[in-house]
Amino acid sequence: MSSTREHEVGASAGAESLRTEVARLNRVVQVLMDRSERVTGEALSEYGQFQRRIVLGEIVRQRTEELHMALSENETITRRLKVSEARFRGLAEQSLVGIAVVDESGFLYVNGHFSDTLGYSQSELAALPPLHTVADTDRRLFADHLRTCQKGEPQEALLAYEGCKKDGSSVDLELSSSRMATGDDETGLILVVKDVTARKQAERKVKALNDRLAELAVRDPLTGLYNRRFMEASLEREIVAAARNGTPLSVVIGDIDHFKSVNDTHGHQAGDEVLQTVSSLFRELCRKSDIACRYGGEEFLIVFPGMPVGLAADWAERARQSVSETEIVVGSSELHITASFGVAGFPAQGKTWQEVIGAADAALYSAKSGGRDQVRRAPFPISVCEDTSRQAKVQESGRTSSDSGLLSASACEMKA
Amino acid sequence: MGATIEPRVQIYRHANAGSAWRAPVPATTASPSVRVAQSRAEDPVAAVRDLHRQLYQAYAELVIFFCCGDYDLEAVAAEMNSCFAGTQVIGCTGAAGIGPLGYVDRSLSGISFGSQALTAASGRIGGLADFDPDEAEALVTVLRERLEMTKPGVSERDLLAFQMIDGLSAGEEPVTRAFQSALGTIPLVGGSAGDSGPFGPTYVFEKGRFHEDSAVLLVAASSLEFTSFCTHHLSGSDCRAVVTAVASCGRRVLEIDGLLAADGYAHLFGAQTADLGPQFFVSHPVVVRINGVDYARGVGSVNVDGSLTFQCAMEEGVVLRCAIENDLVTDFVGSFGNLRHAIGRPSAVLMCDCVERSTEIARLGLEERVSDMLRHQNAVGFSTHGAQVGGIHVNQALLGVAFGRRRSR
Repeated sequence: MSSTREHEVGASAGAESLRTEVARLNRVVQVLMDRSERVTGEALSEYGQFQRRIVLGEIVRQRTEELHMALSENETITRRLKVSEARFRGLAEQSLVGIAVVDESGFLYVNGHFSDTLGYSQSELAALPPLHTVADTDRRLFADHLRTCQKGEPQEALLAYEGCKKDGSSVDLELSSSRMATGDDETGLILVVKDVTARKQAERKVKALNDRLAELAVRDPLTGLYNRRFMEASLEREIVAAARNGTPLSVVIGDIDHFKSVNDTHGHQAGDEVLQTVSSLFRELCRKSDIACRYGGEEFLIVFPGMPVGLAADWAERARQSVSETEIVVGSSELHITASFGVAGFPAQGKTWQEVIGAADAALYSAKSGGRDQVRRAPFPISVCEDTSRQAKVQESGRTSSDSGLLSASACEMKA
Repeated sequence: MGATIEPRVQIYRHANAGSAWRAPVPATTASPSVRVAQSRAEDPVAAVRDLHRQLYQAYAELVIFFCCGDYDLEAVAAEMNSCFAGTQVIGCTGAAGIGPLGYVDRSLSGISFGSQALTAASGRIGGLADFDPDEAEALVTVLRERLEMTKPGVSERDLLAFQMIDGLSAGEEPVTRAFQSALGTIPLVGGSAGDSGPFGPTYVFEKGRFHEDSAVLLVAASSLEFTSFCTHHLSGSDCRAVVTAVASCGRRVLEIDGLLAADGYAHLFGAQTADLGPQFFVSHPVVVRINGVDYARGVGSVNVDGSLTFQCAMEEGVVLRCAIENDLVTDFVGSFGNLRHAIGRPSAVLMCDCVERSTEIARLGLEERVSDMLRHQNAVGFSTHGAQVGGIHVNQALLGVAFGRRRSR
């Protein structure tokens, strides 16, 4: 019995302890559930703040780390960009040509050479419309060129234009431009400009030299009159033109009388002096359209396009008078000379330039044989007189020994 | 009591001006930037003089000292003011001093920074019993302004903060949180001042005086490499218990697992309630696990009503884990290895080591080994009643800030 009672007591004690244990565990569960619900709610306890600080701190740490990595990457990129920028800027600044970047707003960048070429500082150019650096005459050309380039249309290789410097002087420039992408939708133009002033000046010099050379090729160096080759070509052309237009054309051949004796008596320098004086007399008497040339030694030929033969004879008479009235000073002496003239016209005295010259030549011969210091017109067809006229010329130019006797005291008179 | 934040820049910032009352730079101080020292002298005046002799730098910017509470603090303060006149000095009492001599129960240890190494601004808030977070924020603002005045344009990355707080105030959590919030990304470490006895008064030293119920904050711009660190040798096991009742103050735990807290704690470790005591808590610590990381929660005392007073905040529903003690020396070696990896050989390590650790080191007979290591690392600091890092208050941890060589610019 007693053992049963003890058992019952023990059982009830065991049940009691179990109940206590269950209550304790319930309490634990209750507290855990309460905290689980509380964590996200209202004002945090000190411990809650401690916990939150750790959790947030970890998030902040991670984010900070990410941020640092991004920043460091950014720094690396920025550093590389700076290096690249410095490298290309250095290249551009070292360049021997002017380099500029422009867009609608103006110059975005100019290198030192560009600004030096135009005489501005780099900062002055930054505030200047690009067209202000172009001479007025070339602004339209320049603007068109840039517009074409901006559209991406194919460019002519180079644009040669005249730049306007800060001091107002001009500079010859050669421009090559291309499009560059400067941003998302923005495009700029790269202008590469070369100062070609020196080259242009050299070119101009060469051209002047060439012109002079060409002139020399058609001129007689002693008298400055056209040479025979030029005259023949011109006369042929003028006769064709006269034939087509039905206009007259006359030819005058003048020859200094007794020229050989001038050379023999006073020397070649005096002879040259005489030739130059007579040449300038003829040149003064000629119209601009007339073609005066030195035809042979002391023989001159003047072509008068559009001039009837009568007027040409009048001209020859004036020339004759002018020669005979001119005193030529050679050293301490004064020379008096005369000249003879033959006049012929197209188409009356010849259908070709050779025939016309032949006729004039014959007339000259006639003047020579008629006593010199006179003018003769060619009255007859050239074929008749050609041979005789040539003969007379040969004698006159002193290729035979007998012609020295033809020198008359009146034609060549020495005055002390 | 409000924050004492009068500017004193003008007193401390003429270090480089070569004032007449300063000794000239000794020819032998090639790189005097940081010095650590420790004195065992019994006499407070002798101890301070000994410390001064070791810490002296011609252009000292800052001295931080750690003083055992057994010293006559009045005498210490007077001699400090005399020896380090013109230099910014802050400090606190500690259960034990740490320095070149290792862990020494009765000692005075300290560190001095040359003006080339550090630019410092320090201040204090008192009346922690009625702590107002705005005061902490105001102090941080004033200190940063002062730094900006003396070292304009200093980068935030070069700034660090160190605090010493009255360990009996139980105010570490809100104060640390407020300081760290105001400091932003500037790392803050610090410790709770202690005393050689378990309940003796603890003090912080600032402006030539020891203060109760106060926290001293230092904000400094360092031209040395530095890194803050925090380590402990504990990890949580799978043996868990739940805090089921907490007194309103937040640190006194009434129940664990629905039992009286003392019974619950003893039960967790399979021990008898009678076994509980300071030594038991040191060798039988608990941790809480947050985000997969274990944080030690120290117990300060067992009370007559069977409740336990923790050294940190607690609340109902917190899960405690029995901690497994890993090898403390291995943990030390690992931690210093990490520091060396981060900044090279430290020129000085300013550290706050929770008092439980030194007790444990003594119990395990590791004092010599650990002291050797501390000496080798130029460590200086004190045994704390809890420590603070990154705005949280932790127990049984070692933390601090290690300084390396001069930053190359």
